[in-house]
Order: sequence, then structure tokens, then C-alpha cells
Amino acid sequence: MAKTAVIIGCIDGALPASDRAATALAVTRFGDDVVLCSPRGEETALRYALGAGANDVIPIDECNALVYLVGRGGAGVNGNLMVAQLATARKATLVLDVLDVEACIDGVRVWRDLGRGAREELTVTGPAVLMVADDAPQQMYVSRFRQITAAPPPVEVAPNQPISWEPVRLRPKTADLMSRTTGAARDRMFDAYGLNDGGAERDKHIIAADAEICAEHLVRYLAHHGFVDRHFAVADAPVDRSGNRQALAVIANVDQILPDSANVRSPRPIQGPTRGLQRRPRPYRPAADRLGKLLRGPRPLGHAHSPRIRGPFPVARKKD
Amino acid sequence: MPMDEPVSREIMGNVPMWLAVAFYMAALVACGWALLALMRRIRQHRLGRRVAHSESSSWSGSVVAVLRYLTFHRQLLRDRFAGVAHMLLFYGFFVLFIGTCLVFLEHDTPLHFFYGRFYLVASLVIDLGGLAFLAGLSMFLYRRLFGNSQRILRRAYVAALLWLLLAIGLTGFVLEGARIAVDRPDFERWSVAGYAIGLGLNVIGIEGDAALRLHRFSWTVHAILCVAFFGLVPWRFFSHMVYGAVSWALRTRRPRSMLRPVDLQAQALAKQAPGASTWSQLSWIDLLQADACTTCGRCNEVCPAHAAGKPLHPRDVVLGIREAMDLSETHDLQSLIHADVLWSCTTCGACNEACPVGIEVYDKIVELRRGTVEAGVVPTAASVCFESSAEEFNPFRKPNADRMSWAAGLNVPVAEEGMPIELLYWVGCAGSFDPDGRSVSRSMVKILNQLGVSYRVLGTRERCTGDPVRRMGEEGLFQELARANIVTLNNHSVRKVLTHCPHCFNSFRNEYPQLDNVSFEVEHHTQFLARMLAEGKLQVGNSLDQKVTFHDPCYLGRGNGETQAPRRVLSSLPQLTHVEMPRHGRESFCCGAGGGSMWLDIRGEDRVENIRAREAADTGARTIVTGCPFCKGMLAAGSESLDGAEIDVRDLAELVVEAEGL
Repeated sequence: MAKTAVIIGCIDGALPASDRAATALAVTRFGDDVVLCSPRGEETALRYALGAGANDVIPIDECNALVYLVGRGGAGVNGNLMVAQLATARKATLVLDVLDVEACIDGVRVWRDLGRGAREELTVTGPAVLMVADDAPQQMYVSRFRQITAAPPPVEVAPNQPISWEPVRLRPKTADLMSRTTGAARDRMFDAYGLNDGGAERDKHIIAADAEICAEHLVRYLAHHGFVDRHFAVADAPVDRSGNRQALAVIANVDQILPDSANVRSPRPIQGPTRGLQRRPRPYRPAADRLGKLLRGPRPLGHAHSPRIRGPFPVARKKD
Repeated sequence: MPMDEPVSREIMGNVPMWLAVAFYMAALVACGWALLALMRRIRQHRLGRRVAHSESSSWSGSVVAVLRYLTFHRQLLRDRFAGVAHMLLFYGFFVLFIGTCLVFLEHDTPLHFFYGRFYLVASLVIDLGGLAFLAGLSMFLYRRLFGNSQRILRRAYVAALLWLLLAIGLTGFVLEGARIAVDRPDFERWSVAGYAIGLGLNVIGIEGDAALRLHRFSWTVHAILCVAFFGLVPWRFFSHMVYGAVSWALRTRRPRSMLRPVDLQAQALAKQAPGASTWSQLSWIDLLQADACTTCGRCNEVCPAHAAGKPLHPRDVVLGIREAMDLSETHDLQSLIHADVLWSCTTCGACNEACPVGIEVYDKIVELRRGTVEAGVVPTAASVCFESSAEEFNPFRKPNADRMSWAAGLNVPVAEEGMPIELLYWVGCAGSFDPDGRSVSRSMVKILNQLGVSYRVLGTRERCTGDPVRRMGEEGLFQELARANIVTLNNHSVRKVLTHCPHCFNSFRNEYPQLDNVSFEVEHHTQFLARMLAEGKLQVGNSLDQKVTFHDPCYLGRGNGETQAPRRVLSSLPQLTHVEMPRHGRESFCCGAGGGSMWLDIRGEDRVENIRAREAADTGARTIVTGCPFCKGMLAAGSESLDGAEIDVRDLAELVVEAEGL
């Protein structure tokens, strides 16, 4: 059984960017154990994948890989339905809009695009079908020479039958439920299990601020509800590609939560120097200092609060 | 016995037999070791890829070229100080070497000639040679110790080797002076330096036995240093004494901007990818040239990327290859030459032009880029450029269907399929898609229509010539595009191609003939305009009343030797004052767009186009005129960085249109 299979194909004779990215991800992230499945057997796709370093071309029916990386051209006219069928047939986790992937101890770690710049990091254990996003970064370039010198074997293609397994019955989309979530896999899973308490309603409590402040609010929220330890070490968190260590740290901590802990909503015991602080207006600190303050943990006893800055500023009267 | 035989000296006198034997043995071992090292190196050179025989001229031509080069030092004298220093050093060394050979022949062969008048003249010449040798060395050491030139390679081994040579020269004079100090014969006055030193030694009381002891001591030290020198000849920059001349003899006769042909078919059959990721994948001439490097740093001095503070130091690329040759055959070159270094190059060819031993630096950089492309590790901008060139036939990521949108509102005749074309106006990708280039295309069309010349454009059948992708290392894609263009041009039986892009001009003129038989002529628009003006077909009457400076595009001036045509056009335009920038003609400075740098952006402390724009502004000109759409765009961007100075950037065709009143 091959470890990784890449499923690519052409659209209007050209290999779409997502198919190139899927191939590049397969080769660069999973090394030399990559096979190609080209549903329609286009020569361009075959040459590209073999030139990139795929070992073999095998029919999709016979392919039984741990990770399937699928490009838009590979999915073909059936689009997401094809990957859904593939995931069902292989009892695999389906992830759409994949930007990057890497092997990890548990399985594969996947970064997917949530739109509008948002990213989600998932860890998938077991088989995975990963549909690569159109704008996934190209991890490698396959030169013309490598494409030309790749010798693709003839591929038999059954006309109009790119996939031969039984199509699954589609379930109605729970639009009402889904519309209230952020679209992230965890939210959707919590929705499915009724753990989300209605999910995050849109257009309410939107924090419009820069990343640092958003991250700070997010951390406060999570800490308030006991999801994360307030004193977690941001510096130890993995760095995401946008460099937003703090946001990623939050995600990393959320990932460690067991489903049981999701219901732990009891307020923190009021004690010590932070007592009552949560309900007060936040003391103003210069932006550059905020993250540092956040990382320092609880304020020491006898901490002097800076004067509130919200509300009208005092007008300094001129002395005659 | 001839009458004047006493006018001579005893060779190896005062040197005990055991010491003389030890010297000869050590010298033999050192020479043998050096010879073995040279042979090992030559074997390494032979591991490199073979290049076409046409690369070099005939043997006799090469020998003559080397002799002229060594005699006149013309290439070295471009830098007056270093040229004079090297000339003194070289001639001094040569004379000392001949003198040593004469002494050897006299002492160790039955020949007997080193006496009398010959001895006197030889003594004088050898002493003068020694003085020249020391003077040259002193100049180099002075520059190293007290000069502030950025190009000097400040590494200990270079200084150590220079000091070694100085010590050899000084001990040579001391031993000669000590020998003369023993009895100070009158005829030794011909040994001007030695006699003066002998006199000096006598003055400070060294004479007789003391002088003999000093002679033996200085002889021993001199001999040890000479043996060390023999052994070090194949090492580091000393090796240029052997390979420098060979490199010059085998230097390319190609135009500067023409890359070596690559036979992809043969490489595919040999299962050998183009490009190099290890030193053994470079051509043998690249390896030999790496050993020929004198580390003079002239390439660094003229490199636009280096001037802009980018990571590229052309000398380090060459030295990186040389260092890699000391490592294993499969050692990855990227560990010594970082990718950013390679992608900083603008392929302007200034390094090749400046190199005193004919090293083709930028060919090596392109070869290494090919290696990275084959490995699939390229900057995103480069891969986007490749994909756009492959799918849309232009590197600007524009749909090829829009290729004729530049001609809106103009009467531009587009050739029908298969129609024979006498004069093809090749618009090029920049002329079709880039706003700066489009205005040049429109100006050219106005001129062509005004002249009433029968011409055609290819419209959407035109494809990128492949110049940018070739310079970025995508040889396969270049050949694909080039072959498609050749088929198109042959289908139209094109007689002459006119283009305003020096990159397209270079591809058609120099690189397409590498791939196939092409029968068309190529003319750059500056040449065309100069010809039309000379023939009186183009009338320019409007006064321009401007002070302009001309920026020579690298691929036109240095690359293809065309520096006069644009200046002839400028001199024909009425009331136009033309001033030259300090760096012009073949020594022009790049605009920063070549070699794919139009799309790539390796950051430095400054920008190449800003440097050039400042240089243009310093001439007092209000307009920079150029003959390349890429240069125009880059310099326009650079001129925006000028503080206070407003400077306009225009193509020569646009000036002609203005002068024509079109």
C-alpha cells in the first residue's frame, strides 16, 4: 500500500494550480512513496506528476493509500462529490481547501483555508482525503525537461466513468446549524454533538481590531471559560506561516481540549489579586506592551492599576 | 679559455654539498607534488561536462591571444594601479625566472656562457627585474594594507602568499648583496641592487666571514621559501599563474549576452538533467575558469546586484566552485553558494566584461540556476513566471488574447496565417503588456506607418522569445517557446525581424540559431532608426530642446556591441543636448531588470534602478533615453526615488516620434 496518492487531472488542457500544488505537497511532504492516480489519464498530468517524483501510476480503484491529495482537475466535473465518495469508500477523513500538510506522529497535520485570511490547523488520524485549495502555495516547480523526459505508461480510462464505486447518498445540509458556526472543523464537530451552545453567532461580538488585540480578547475569553490555562507559554507554540504565534498558540491549546472539558464553563473562583478584574474596564496599556503583560501571568499583589482612559479625557485647564 | 672569463661568479659557492643536494631534492619533491596536484586538478576539470568545440578559437589563435595579453596587459590596465602593479610583478618574475634558468644551465649542464659581457648585462637585467618584482609586490601590499578598496579579498592566505613572494625577493637581494660584500669586485656594479646592498653591508661592518655566513644563511632561507613557492603554485590564487593564461586562451568569443547552447536531447538520452547542483555537473571550462580566478574582485566592483547590497558577490560564486572542487564530487554546491546569491544576478554580463582572465561568471550562475530549477526549488515569482510563459506565452501573467490590445486606435497590419512577411515587427511581451513598453510599440508603429514601410505583426501568434525563462534557468521551456517561434517565423518566410526589445533581439540574433537553422535577419529599432535617418527617409524637424543622457541596455551595448546606433540617432535630433553618464557603452550599468529580476525581488540595501537613476540625474540631464522597454520601466521606477530631481524616462522611438511631430 502506497503511503500517499495524488489525484490530478487537467481542465481545458491545462493543469490547474491546485493540482500542481497537490503534486508538490505529496512529493515534498511525503518523500518518495507517492503514486499518481489520474482519473482521465491526461498526458500533461501524468508527465507533471512523474516529473515531480511520483513513483508509479495506478488506477484509482486499485489505489489504497493513507493520504490522498486531490487537485481541482483531479476531482473533475463531479467536484467535491468525487472526493466525498472517495472519502466514504476509503473510510477516510475528508478535508477541503487544504493549503499545506505534513506528516506527524498521530497522522497528518493539515492547514486549511477558512476564507478571508483565516486558517485552521487540524490533525487527522487514519486515512485522509485532502482536497487542495486553488491558492495553495506551490512547494516545488517541475521543470519542462523533467516533464518531457518523464515516460508515462499508458493509462486505460473508462469513458464517463472516472470513478467506479457506488455513489453515496447525500445527506441534507443542515444550513441553519452550520450557518451559525465559523466553519472550522471543531465548531462543526461540536455542532454535530450539540456541544456548541448555539455556536458563534455572526455579526455579534465581532472584535474589529488588529491581530494582537483580537488574540488577546480570544485568550481572555478562552481563559475565562476555562478552556486554556491563562499562563500558557506562547513562546513554545508552533509558529504558523503568517507568523501569528499567539493566535496559533490559542489553537494549539484548544486542540488539546478533551470533549468533556468543553462543557466546563464555571467561572473561575474569585480569589487573589485578580478578583473582580474581569468585569472592569480594561486598564489601558500601550499596544507594544499588551502581549508582554499577557504573558507575564497574574499581576503581583499590590499592583497599581493605571488610570482608566475610556470616557472623556480630562481637559487640562490653562492657568491664568 | 676566453679572455673575459674572470668576469663571472661562482655559482653555488659557499653552499656545502649537502645543502645543495638537500635543496635539489626538496625542489624536486615540491615540483613533483605541484605537478601531481595540477594533474589531479586537470583530471577534475575533465570530469566536467563537455562543451562544444566552437567555444574556443584555433590553438594558434589562442596562443597569439595569450602572448598579446601577457605582453600588453591591456585587460589588466583597465584598472591602472592594479594593471601597473601586475605588469611590474609579472615582468620582474619573468626576468627572475629566466635568470634562474640561466644559472641552472650554467651550473648543472655542460653549457658555459655565464661570463663576460653577457654576465654583466644579465646581472643588470636580473637585478632590474628583481626591483620591478619587489615594486609590483609592494604596490599590491600597499593597497592591501592602506587602501580602502572594497574589492580586495581580505583573507589571510592571500596576504600570506603575497608576503611569501616579498620574502623571496628580499632574501634574493640579501644573498646577492652578501656574496658581493665578501670581496666587492668592481664589475659587480652591474648588479645595481646587489652591489648597493653589498656596499651597505660593508658599511655596517659585515664583510669577509660575516658576509659569507650571512650569504649562507640568506641562501638557505631563500631556498626554503622558493621550495615552498614551487609547492604552492597549484594552491588557491597562485594557481592563476597556470590557469589564468589558459582561461584567457580558451575564453569565449560569443557575444557577451549569448549563453552556451544546451543540447537537451543529448542530455535526455544521457539521463543527465541540465544545470548543475554539484561541481562535476559544470562544464570543464567552468571548472578551469574557477581555478583561474585571481580574486581581484573586479567582478564585484561592477556588479549591479553587489552595488545594491544584494547577496551576490560574483567572485564568491567562482571561489565557491573552486572550494567545492576540494570537496567530494557529489557535494551540493548550494551549501557553498546560496540560492539568493544566484537569484540576485541580473545577467548583465558586466562581470564577464571586467574579468581579467576571461571568466564567464554569469554563465555559471545561469547553469546553477538551471540546477535549482531541475531540483524544483525556485522562488515563487520565478515559478509563476514560468507557468505564465508556458500557458499564456508571456511572463506578465496576462491572457495571450490581449496581446494586441496595445494597438487600439492604431492601424497595425496583422499577418494572416502563412502570409510571407518581408519585415516583421516583433512587439515582444513587454511591448504588448507592460504600460512602459506599450508606448514604445505605439511609437514604433507610428514611425513605420509614417515611413510607409511594408511590415506586419504576428498578433496573438507571437510568443515570448523565452529570454527571461532561459536566464532564470528553465532551459526546456525556453527551447519549447523558441522552437514554436521559429516554426511560426518559418511559416511566414520572414526575411527580417525588427524589434525594440534588446532581449528579443539577442534571442533572435544569437540564441535561436543554436536551436535551428534560421534564415531571417534581425535589427534592433535603434539600428533601424539610425539607418532610416542616415538614408534620409526619416525627417525630424521639431525642436526638442532637451538635455538627455542615454542608458545603454546591457543586452544591446555590452551584449551585442551596439553602442553607436542610438547615439547617431540622438545626434540627429534637433537641439538635443546629449551628455554621457560615467558608465556608458560597454561599461554601462544595469537597470536591474535582466535575468528575470523584473519579476524576482531579492532585497538589498538599495535598488539597482535607483542607483542608475541617481547616476543619470547627476549628469544634469532631464531625460533618460534608452532602447529597451524593461530598462524604461525600471528607470522610471528608479527616477521616482530621486529627491527633488524630476527626470523623465523615454525610449528613443518616443523621442523620434516627438521630433517628427507624429
